[in-house]
Amino acid sequence: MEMNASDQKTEQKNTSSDFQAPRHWVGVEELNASYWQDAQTTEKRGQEFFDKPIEALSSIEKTEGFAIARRDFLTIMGASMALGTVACVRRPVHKIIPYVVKPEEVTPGVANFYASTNPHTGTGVVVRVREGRPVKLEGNELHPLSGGKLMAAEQAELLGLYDPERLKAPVSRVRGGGSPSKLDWTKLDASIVEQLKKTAASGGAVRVLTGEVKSDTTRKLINEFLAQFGNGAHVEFEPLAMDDLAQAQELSYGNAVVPAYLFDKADYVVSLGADFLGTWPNSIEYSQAWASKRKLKGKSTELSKMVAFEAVMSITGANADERYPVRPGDELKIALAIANVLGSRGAAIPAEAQAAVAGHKPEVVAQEIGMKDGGEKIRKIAEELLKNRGKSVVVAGGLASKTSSAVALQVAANMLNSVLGNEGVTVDGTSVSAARAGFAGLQKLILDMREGRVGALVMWGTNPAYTVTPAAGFKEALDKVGTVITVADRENETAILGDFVAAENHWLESWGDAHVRKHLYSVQQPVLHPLHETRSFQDSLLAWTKGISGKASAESWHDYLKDAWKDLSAKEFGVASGNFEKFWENTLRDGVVDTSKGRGALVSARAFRAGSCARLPKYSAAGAEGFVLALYAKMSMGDGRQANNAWLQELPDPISTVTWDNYANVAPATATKLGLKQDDVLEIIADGVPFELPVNIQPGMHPQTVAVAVGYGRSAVGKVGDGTGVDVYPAAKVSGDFLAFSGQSARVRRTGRMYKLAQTQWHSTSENRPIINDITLAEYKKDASAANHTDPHLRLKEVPSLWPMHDYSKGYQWGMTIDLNSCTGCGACVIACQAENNIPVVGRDNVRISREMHWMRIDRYYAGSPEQPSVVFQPMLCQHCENAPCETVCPVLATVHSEDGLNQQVYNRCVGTRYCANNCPYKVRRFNFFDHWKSYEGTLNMVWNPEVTVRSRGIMEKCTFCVQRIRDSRDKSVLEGRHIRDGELKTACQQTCPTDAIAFGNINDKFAEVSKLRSHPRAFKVLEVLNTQPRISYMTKVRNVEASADHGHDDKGHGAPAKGH
Amino acid sequence: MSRISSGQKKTLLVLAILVMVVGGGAVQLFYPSASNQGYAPEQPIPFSHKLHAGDNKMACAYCHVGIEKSRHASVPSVNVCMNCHTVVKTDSPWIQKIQKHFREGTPIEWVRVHELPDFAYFPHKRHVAKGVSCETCHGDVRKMEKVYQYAPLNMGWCMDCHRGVTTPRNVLAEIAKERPEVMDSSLNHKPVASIQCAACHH
Repeated sequence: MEMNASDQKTEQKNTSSDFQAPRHWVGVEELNASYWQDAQTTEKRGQEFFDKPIEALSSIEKTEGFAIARRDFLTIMGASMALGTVACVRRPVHKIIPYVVKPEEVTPGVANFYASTNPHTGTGVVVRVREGRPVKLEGNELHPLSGGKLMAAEQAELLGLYDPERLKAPVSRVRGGGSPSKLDWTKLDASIVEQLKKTAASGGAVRVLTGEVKSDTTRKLINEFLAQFGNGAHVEFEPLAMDDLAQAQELSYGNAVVPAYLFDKADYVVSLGADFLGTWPNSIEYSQAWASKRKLKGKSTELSKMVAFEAVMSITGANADERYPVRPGDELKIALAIANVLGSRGAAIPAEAQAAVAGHKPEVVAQEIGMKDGGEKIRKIAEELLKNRGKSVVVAGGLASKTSSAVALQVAANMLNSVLGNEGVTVDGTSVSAARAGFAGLQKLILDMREGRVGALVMWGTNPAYTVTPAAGFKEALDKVGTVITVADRENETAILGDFVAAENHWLESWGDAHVRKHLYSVQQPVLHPLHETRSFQDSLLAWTKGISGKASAESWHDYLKDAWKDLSAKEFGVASGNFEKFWENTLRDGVVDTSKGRGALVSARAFRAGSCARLPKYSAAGAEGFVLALYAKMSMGDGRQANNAWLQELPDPISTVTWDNYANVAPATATKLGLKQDDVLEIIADGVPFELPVNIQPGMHPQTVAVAVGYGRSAVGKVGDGTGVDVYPAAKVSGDFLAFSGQSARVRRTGRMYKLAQTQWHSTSENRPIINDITLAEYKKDASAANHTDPHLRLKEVPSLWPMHDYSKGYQWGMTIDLNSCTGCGACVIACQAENNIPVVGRDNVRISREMHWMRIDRYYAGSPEQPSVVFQPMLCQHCENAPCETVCPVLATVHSEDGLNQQVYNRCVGTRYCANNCPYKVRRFNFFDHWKSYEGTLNMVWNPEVTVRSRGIMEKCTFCVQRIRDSRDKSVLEGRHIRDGELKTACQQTCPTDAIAFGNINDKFAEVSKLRSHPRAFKVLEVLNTQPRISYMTKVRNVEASADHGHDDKGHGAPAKGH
Repeated sequence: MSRISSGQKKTLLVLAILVMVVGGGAVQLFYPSASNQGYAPEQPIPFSHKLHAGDNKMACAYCHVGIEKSRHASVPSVNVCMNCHTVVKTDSPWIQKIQKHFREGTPIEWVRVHELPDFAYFPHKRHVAKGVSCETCHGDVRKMEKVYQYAPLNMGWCMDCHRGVTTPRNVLAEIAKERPEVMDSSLNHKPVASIQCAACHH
């Protein structure tokens, strides 16, 4: 009844010509009246599926892999049925093959958990292993860098382990043509040793080029290997290294480090292009710390504030209370304008900085950037920073702000932090290890190589032929190196240029360790025997060392590591040598030794060297015309290392919701000006380097910025990653001794062609039904109940039920809460869910026609103007409604309710009518149009979780609240004769959420966390008026902003929903 | 409309029966029951449960180590056989075959007798903990020279027990002590164990 009333109301609004844009929107199209009124689009929206299935099917049939047309399919089915009637009398004979000698710790059907460490990120992981096969990665709760959580890219390492395109044996190549030949390790070792001996005899230099090495022990081993040669050196290089930050730290404080930031001590955060919640190292730790200030628990109204200035919208900017789009390079001007205000309020800006700061008047800077009322806003930000002296933080850096003036930007940030007394409080530059992986080292190496001074080059964990711009001349220089040995898991872009490829283990198959912070060490233990004939890098080094000098300091890398830890345990932890075995065993179990606590303060303020301010430039305005290129790294793809990982390729970008490709982000205003539409192919010429990329119209971009993600367009990674997207690393510029990724001037041109991006933002939309609540802090303080400000017309009224209601007052009743205030949209839950619940990858074409299978998706909504929108993320999954609309329409009772409040989907009953998905108001049900599992070939088959059914074609599926985990906990508690404790049982999404935004538990238990949150004034249920009675409550997003037109709450509710809902 | 004559009625009846028989038969043909009751395949080694569990009174859990802690009862690894057969009956060619497997490190490929479909999750540990004896589902294995599938192992058969119809008396008594509410005067015909779909299908 209420819905009708509101429909009438909106109809009136529509007929009167004053169109009111919806309050929350998913794309700029919705801001046009025509989107809601145009007959053609209205008709399209009225269809069950956005794309007609026939079109969809024909487009799929054209692509490889789905070559069977429907008619052929029917013929085949008929034939197989006829055959089936003959053969179906006898069951298939299956074998049970037990162990020959069963390892004592293995019981078939019972998982073992092992702690290890991801050597790339230094985060501690716990691996769930079933019968010797890892099936899930989770964070190690004892490890401060993961705190039990993992980001999407780290969750997805599991699929990387089973990548069928990993090298299975070593390879030797003939450089400059010729086909690669596989050989065994003895032969490979003999050839390499021979080459290295030759190099040593001729006095040639040997270089080891690696990615960032977080292990002291590995570094020691590398140095031992190099010591055999007269001239050896170890170079570390990471394409996304923050060498600009480290350089500025050295200038300002005397040590080249990437500091750790303590966001849990910061009430006021200013981010200048810094994506510390997303793509930064340690982003899990930062997300946890930042979110701890955003929880609004109980009656608390204390909320930190974050202001972001960025060129590309990142999840950090999306979570900021205020976010301002700038061009790459403008971040520095903002920093200096803030310093300008601070100086005028009596803050001690160093004299050396005066010349630069004086010119950066807030009004002038704001005018240039195009910030509306910007001068006033910058002044206000500076004032608030002053108010929060010692409890604020200014962070800068990341690819999009890494222009040729990046070091100056970092110096300015250092100056601000020191002036504000944040140094040593929220900025920790003293307990972190030195940053080594900058471009400077590689630059020197390339020079040496080019001059012919390098006799042999060993590379490990690095791929400079792909990640370094060709302008740096790596490939040409490599031709001058006598012997090139690559240790890699595949013949990647660099490996194919060398002589030998030593097939490497996955890190889950190798030993190792990591020295993450002062007094914080973690161990990497292998959790399975190598799947292929591969060997760890360290074992290879030992073998070659032994081959060259006849002896090595240890028989194996494991022994070497243990010996190193014997020394370390004595020196660092004071373990007597007799107790070492016990200590080692404990360390392996815990995965980490953290003795930083109880050692007194490790963090102390460093003195700011005012001399570094000489780096700060005087004010000069950039041109108001033309485009500036910004490169950035994505949450999923990062530097492109995991490009062959289909989970990550298919994870929708948190901001653009595009999967499988990279694209050129342009502002809506720019698109209008250039006549660009979504998916138009754009030619970009950045300082002479041309690219062609499809357009993504991205609200919240500066109109002069064009932004593209790196990590795509690989050519030698495998079936999944090859040719996916466009490689834009060549657009990076060598600027002094680092790589400037952004700030290049760019020319753009419409090509007139189209390329359909697989964007999920229009799939499963709520079609402007009011599904999101947000509110300002001021309003929340005034009246907490205002947080639940669903349109009064859409509030649930008492409605009589046709059926007797179930009794949910007894036993376990599962429920969930999701806090929109701490959800950063990172997508870790999506991949965790995919790994836990055997969710298949469907490929680009299927995503294009809304057939992605993710049980959990993150809906991203914008509010406010397309120039400067605010963002809300809403994780959307099965709501487990008590009055579930799906259940009443299933003709075969394949979806029914359980006693403990779960909406169950019974695969073996489902006949695939899809009526349930049709009737679901939240659009969370997923249909298997194909036998997707069939594309999981070879080792990929090992990734399935044995506790969850692998679904076949024609079956509906959706979130189960991880019922297999519920069953497991129930089994455990029943056998132990007790109840399930609150917090003992975690769903996969909840378990990995870096900000603990998800709570899950028994809502019949008054003291459970989930019960407390459900009764909080911020808790609301989505589309309450439908009386579906969801078991999930969302917690309203509260923004720390002044009430404004954008954010204010008005009684009119949610804009103008279109007719025909 | 005219009334149907008795002759037509007869024809209709015959037709209906024909349709039922043919249809039913076709359904049976196309969708045979999941049950393989009575299935008794040849095993690579003619292991006698009668000899081991019956005559020699070995406990089931001696070999099937998973029954109390896992979903799977699990088939013993070769080293378990070798606990005795390094000395017992070493002259038998079958025992020598086992020893060969052990020496060479090759597993024995037993033919699976009891098999549930992949979408059904049956936890042995829960059932054993509740006092359901092995015989309830597996029959008197102590008398089986060659193991065969004793029970139908289809869903209706599972549900009969979960609904309290065929539940063993000792288990019923146990449940009645813990949860008297499921055992009113009629003593059975009340669900005594979970009949939720997701309890087994997930």
